[in-house]
Amino acid sequence: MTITEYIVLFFMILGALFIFVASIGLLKMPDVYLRMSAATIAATFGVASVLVAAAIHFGTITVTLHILGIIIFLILTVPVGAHMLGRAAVIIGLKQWNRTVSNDIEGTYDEETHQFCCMDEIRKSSGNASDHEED
Amino acid sequence: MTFNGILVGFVLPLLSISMLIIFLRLFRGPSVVDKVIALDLLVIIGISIVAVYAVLFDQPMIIDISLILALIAFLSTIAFAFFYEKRNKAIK
Repeated sequence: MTITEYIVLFFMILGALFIFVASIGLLKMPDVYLRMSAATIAATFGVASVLVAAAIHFGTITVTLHILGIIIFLILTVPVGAHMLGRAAVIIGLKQWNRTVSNDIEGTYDEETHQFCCMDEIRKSSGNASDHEED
Repeated sequence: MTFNGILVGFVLPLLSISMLIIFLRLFRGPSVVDKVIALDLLVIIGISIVAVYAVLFDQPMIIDISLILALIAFLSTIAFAFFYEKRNKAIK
């Protein structure tokens, strides 16, 4: 095997291992939001690695530009899709895992107007409430 | 092992096992959002399998399929999230 083939194999195996880890995370994580995080982050890196291996193997400018386009498109669009899905999950009221520490978005969704009110007002009102209790 | 041997014997089986695990989550998934995440990840693994086959058969034209798959995956996920959100607003 030549040195190029070793580099291609390294990137291919790295990407396949990342995708495998992403699928295990999708199976074993306890919560919709944790599953979404595990799947999107690791799988984006894995598919980018596999595509970089293909670009190194072919080595022409046409294929490299195609693959660069695919990678940039994936890096731009996969987080947007995950954000839309997470928003839908919050709106239909899916519960977080019971050992999750922080939940900043709880109580900010208004079911009448279908809007998320801004976090500053929540923090201000809770701070005022605690001040009032101290007084 | 040869170059093609490692691709056929290690990389493609790893991707196939990942696909099987994701199908498990797709059938089990407690909520619909889980199933949509699983479908999204299935298409992403499809993109990488297409890339591996392009390297295996030395055909750079096959890479174009993965470009189209990436476009379709993004559109379907966005459309699903949008309309699912709208449907739940309409029910409430």
